[in-house]
Amino acid sequence: MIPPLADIVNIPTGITLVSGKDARTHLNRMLTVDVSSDSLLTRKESFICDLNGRITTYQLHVDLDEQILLFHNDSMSEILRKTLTRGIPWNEEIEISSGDGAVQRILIYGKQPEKILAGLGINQAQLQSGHWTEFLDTMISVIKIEDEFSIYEMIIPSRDYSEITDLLHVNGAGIGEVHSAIALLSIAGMIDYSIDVSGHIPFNLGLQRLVDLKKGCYPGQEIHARMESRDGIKKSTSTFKTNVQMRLGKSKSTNNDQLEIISSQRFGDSWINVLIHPKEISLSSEILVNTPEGEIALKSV
Amino acid sequence: MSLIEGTGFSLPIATITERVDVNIEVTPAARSAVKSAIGEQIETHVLIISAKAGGCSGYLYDMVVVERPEEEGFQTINIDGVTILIHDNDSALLNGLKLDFKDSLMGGGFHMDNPNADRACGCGQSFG
Repeated sequence: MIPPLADIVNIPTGITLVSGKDARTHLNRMLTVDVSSDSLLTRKESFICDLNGRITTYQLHVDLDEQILLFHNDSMSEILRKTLTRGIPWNEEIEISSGDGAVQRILIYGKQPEKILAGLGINQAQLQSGHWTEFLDTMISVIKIEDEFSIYEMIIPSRDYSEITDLLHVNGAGIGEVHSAIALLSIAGMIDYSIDVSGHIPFNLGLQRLVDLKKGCYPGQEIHARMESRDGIKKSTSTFKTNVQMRLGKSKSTNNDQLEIISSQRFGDSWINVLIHPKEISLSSEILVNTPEGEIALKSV
Repeated sequence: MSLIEGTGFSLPIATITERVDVNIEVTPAARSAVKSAIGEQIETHVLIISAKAGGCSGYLYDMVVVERPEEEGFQTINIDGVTILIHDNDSALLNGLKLDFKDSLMGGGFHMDNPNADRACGCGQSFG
């Protein structure tokens, strides 16, 4: 299930380029996180929310100073670009471009991806999760290092894609599968940008770290602040294993708890599911979910 | 940065905004405050009122006194010797705006009453 060395997989993604000397300032007025003091090669995740505090877009940043690359769910491309092109002040230099297909995002995951990176001359110890490190014309960063596996992320210009992936394969990387990589991220407690999380409140996804209530106003900030201060966070997100693929969307447990499955990815012989559930629900044992196919047992990962 | 050099990126996405002829109302208190802010530079400087993305409600008001900009695309409103500029891109958002000024220690300063706003944030700086 977990590759003994590492597999690589290309994650389909939408890409938007925000460029100009005021790119960071413009983004900072809309994002849920503070990017005002970011610098060249900062790696960051962020949301743009609507006025009700619900997620409109979820993106990964590659900060190239006056050019900021955003990676996001490709179905969110249109709304993200529409959001970013409105409200550009008369005295700021900001341009929004599509980069779909220009750059590829791959995940390198397995028990020992460090060995493959070492073969390329990349010292894993020098990689940081909040920072991109240049390698040839690519960028690499670490997503998660667990006891049993590690996940790294690489951004590659499409023109160099074959050359770089060949290099990785020569050094032992296998060919991975998108669902396995995203499932492994879920097991590590992460939600990939390729998963559609629009319409959800960041707190309900367990992504409080992407909401900075001290940065000042942004769309949805009042709602987030109220939820946070009045203990209004009633839901949480956890990862569960099933023997069958779960339908995405809302369902109910046999105890009548409201549940919502936002991702169900095959991982070996089982399926790894990301579930939004009431905070107070007991996660110690399995949850039985009512489905049209009958009751399905969700087992905590 | 070589990561994004070369082909593959689109040309900048065009921003299409609605242009309307702007009318705004400036209360006597606001006129006085704007005149005071501009001071002796009233012949060369203008007040620009604009709206930019952000804030709790989607857009933020911005007001700056600057030397008359060379950029095109502004609509000019002359009120009592004061020149106010509003960019065409902001015209639909700011048309009908009423600019007031409250002289108080708490909550004082310029206030906007915008008929285009469906909602405004508590601090009054953001609308949507």
